[in-house]
Amino acid sequence: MAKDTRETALVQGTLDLLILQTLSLEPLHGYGIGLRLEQLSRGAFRVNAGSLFPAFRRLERDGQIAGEWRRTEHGRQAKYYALTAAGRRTLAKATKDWAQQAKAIALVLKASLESL
Amino acid sequence: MIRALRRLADGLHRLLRPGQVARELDDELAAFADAAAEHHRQAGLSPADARRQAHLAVGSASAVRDHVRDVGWASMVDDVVRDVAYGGRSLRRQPGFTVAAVLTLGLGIGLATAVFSVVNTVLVQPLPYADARRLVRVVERAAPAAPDAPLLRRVSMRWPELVDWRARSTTLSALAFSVAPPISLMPADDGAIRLSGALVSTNLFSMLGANAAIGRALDARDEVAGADVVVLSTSAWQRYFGGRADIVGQRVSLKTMGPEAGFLDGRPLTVIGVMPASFDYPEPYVDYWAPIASDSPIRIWPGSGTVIGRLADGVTVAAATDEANAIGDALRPRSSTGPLARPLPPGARRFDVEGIEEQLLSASRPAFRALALAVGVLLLITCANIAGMLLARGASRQREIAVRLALGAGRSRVVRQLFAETLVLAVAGGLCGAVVATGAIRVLRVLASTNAPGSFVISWRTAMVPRLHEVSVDATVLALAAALSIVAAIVAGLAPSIAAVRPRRTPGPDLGATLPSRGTAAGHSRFHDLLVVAQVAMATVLMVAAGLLAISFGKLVRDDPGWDASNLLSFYLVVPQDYGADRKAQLVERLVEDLHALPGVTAAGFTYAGPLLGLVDQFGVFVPPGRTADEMRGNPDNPQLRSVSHDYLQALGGRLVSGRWLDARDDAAAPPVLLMNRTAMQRLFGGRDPVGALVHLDGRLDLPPQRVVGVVEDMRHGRLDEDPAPQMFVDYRQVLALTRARRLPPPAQERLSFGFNAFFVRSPESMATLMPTVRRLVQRVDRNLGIDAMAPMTDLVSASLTRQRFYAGVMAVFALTAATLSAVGIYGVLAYGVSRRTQEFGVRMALGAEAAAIRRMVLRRGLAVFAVGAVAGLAGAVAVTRSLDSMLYHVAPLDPWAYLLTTALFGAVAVVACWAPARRATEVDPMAALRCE
Repeated sequence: MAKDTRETALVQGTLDLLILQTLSLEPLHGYGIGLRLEQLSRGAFRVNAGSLFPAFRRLERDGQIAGEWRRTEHGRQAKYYALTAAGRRTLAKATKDWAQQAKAIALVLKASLESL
Repeated sequence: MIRALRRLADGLHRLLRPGQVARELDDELAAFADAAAEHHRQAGLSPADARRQAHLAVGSASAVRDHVRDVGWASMVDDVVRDVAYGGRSLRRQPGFTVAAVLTLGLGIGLATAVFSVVNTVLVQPLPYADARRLVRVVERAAPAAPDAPLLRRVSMRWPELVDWRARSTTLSALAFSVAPPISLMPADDGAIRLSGALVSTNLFSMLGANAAIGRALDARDEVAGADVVVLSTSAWQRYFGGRADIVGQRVSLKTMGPEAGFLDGRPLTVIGVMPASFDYPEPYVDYWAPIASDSPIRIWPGSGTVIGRLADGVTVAAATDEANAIGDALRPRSSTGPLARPLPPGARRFDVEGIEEQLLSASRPAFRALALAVGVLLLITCANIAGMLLARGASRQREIAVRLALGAGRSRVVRQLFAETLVLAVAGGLCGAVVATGAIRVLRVLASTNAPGSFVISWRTAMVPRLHEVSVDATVLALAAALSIVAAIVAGLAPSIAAVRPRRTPGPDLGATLPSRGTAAGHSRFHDLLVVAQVAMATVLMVAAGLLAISFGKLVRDDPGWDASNLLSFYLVVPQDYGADRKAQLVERLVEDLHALPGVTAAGFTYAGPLLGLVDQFGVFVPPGRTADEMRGNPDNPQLRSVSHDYLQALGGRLVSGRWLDARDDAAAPPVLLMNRTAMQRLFGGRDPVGALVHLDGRLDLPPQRVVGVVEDMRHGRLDEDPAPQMFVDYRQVLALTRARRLPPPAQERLSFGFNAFFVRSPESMATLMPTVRRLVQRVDRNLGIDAMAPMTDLVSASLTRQRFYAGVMAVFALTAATLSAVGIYGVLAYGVSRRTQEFGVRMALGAEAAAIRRMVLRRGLAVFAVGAVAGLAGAVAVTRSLDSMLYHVAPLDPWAYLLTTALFGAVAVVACWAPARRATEVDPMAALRCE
């Protein structure tokens, strides 16, 4: 139950941004991406396959990420996703937008009569 | 842009390679699960626990697949395909409903398409000439003699007038002239072939923008004297020249006959081209076009030809009309006597410039409007019927829908599926409609085509259904009719489905409440009743209209025309033009005698033009006692002169009212005598018996009078639906003598005396054996004689009623279709009602209700629906059928029989439609009905 609430708490469209950021560090396979997200958010975001896979589809279709089948460190085949040049540009722009928005939202949330 | 292309490519890949896409996703999911299991194992879980955790991480693989599939547009296409397939399956499960719906749609769409295609071709589409809407005719009008009669019209000009008009006119960029001699002869091995052709000014083809299919059309080169060329119609080329490829350059010899004799004198003409089959100016059935060359006798001919003009660029009809009045008044000064001397009614101008379509179509326009209206109503009935069917089906499927919703189907998905089902139905109905339309147009063509022989083609052309040979299934019309039915189906069929998927207000997740029990659809049911009432009302209007036309047609067929068509053969003799009046007179005498002498022949006669040909001639102005010549000039009471052999009237089966028949002794040398018909006696002699009176047929008091020797019963010599006009019958030998005594020009003498040389033979023998005998006899008398339009009189009668039969037949088909559809509608609403009330009937029966009482209950409801609709329909019919007046013969638009009979017939159909559901209601097994809930 708790997982669900946290997952739905993800702002619409944010998942794509988080995946891009995760992949900007190194190419990862599907489960690895989910795991990394959980680690980076210190367990705040646990995203299941039902949300991850459609996001991979969308991003791959739009050329933000590219998939490639490779052998894992455990000797299995897995599809590794890597950021493309277009994905890198999107990430840079989205990160900037996000930071601005977050700042603005924080300002609004902190607003009091005195600050006017 | 790039993104859009990428998405397109991606979607196509997914649609075209569904297997590969699915495999890759499955592989990826498996890898995901493996990685998860590996991760958990490393974290110290047992292999079994690790696998369970991996399962949890993946969740439902099929849900993941669905979510991934929903990304992108390809999934929508996929869904539609699935929905359509599902719709098809669910329709197949109910073949009765499906067949009824598809047939209903097919009939409605098909018939509507056929008739609208005809209406579109006839009334809407321009004539097949270049920029046809700028083609005009100059019409001269004159006041009629009787105050409330329509204005007299004249659309023809003499050649010199045309030349002057061309020189003066600036509003018309071109004027073309044509004369269509009804009879031309072309020599052939077995006697002469009769053609109908047109002599035209050489600018005609370029003005109409018409090109030849083979060779070339006439142009300015053909105006020089001695050009001697001719252009053939496609039908003449195929019929008389076997469609031979080397037709251009062939020589044909043509000779015009009758009043137009001498225009073509049999000189060999070179064929320069063949016109396409679609070209039919100045009228259909033209076999050839020959140029009016600079030395043509037409240029000095006293007769007139038809003139057609083209409005110059930027000129309005109003401007052209002003100019036409100026030119016309200058070229044709008003005479001080005759029709032109009478003042025109206020608002009317002497000359009018009219579009040529107006002329071609004005006669059939009201009839076609009525047909279009009728088929529009039929289409509405179809829509209402389909709507009713889907309504009942939708309501009865509420349970199914509720179950599917309960099992987790998305609402939009359910609606989409129902929509797809309707679409499948509509497409099937549309296809069925296309088939029906194709067949219906073929039938319409047959129904409207007249097998009019020879000369009749020309005299009946205005009575026929115009432009029908151009009609084909109109794709736009088909699409529109299909679209209309589909929209109606969707509106009516989907509304209840959408209501069904709407969340219910019932609190709690109780499945019993989610599943509506039978009987919650009272609202739908009332709407359904209304639909059926509307259908019945509209069908009643059509039934009454069809009834009126049928009664009118029946009267036309049964009414006594004053002559007896059975056992009567008629033919028209084509006499070489150089024979002269005396030789013709001898021929007629000889032929009548020889025909009479044939074995089995009981009577034979000659007249200048037989019944149904519509040829009318007058001979001066007859002045009856008590009236003046001025009064009679142009008056419809001025009698026709009909030249006959003495036994013609008896041969046709005429009846004597008083006096005696004409006699073989009433020849040129005998004292001139005449017979008149009953109408002439009534209108000219106030009904007093005129036998013995001396009259002046043409009002020439200075010449010897004629004696009235008898009165005959009226005969319809014109169309069968025309009331008889006053007629005088004079022996042809005496007509010739009268015209000679008055020094009429020889062509006028011959026209009044011999006209079209009609012969009639009465014999109880079969016409099939009589016809060759008569042909041989004519050839024996003179090898140079031709025979035209030989046909049993019954065939001519039938052919002359083509138009009335066409309208009555088409309307009857509409009305019966409409009545049947409405009956199906009544059946549907009752059957649905009975199935909904199965339980109630079961309880009633269990409580002792009698089967007859239950039957009565159902019947009463069905008949109530019918009665409400029929009453509304009858009221509508009273308001609407007045517009049929011009199509009716001796039937008032409010004829009570039409109303009574059609309502009774319709009522009988309704009872039949009610019977089956009523019986079904009584066959309910009470126990089964109770268990049913």
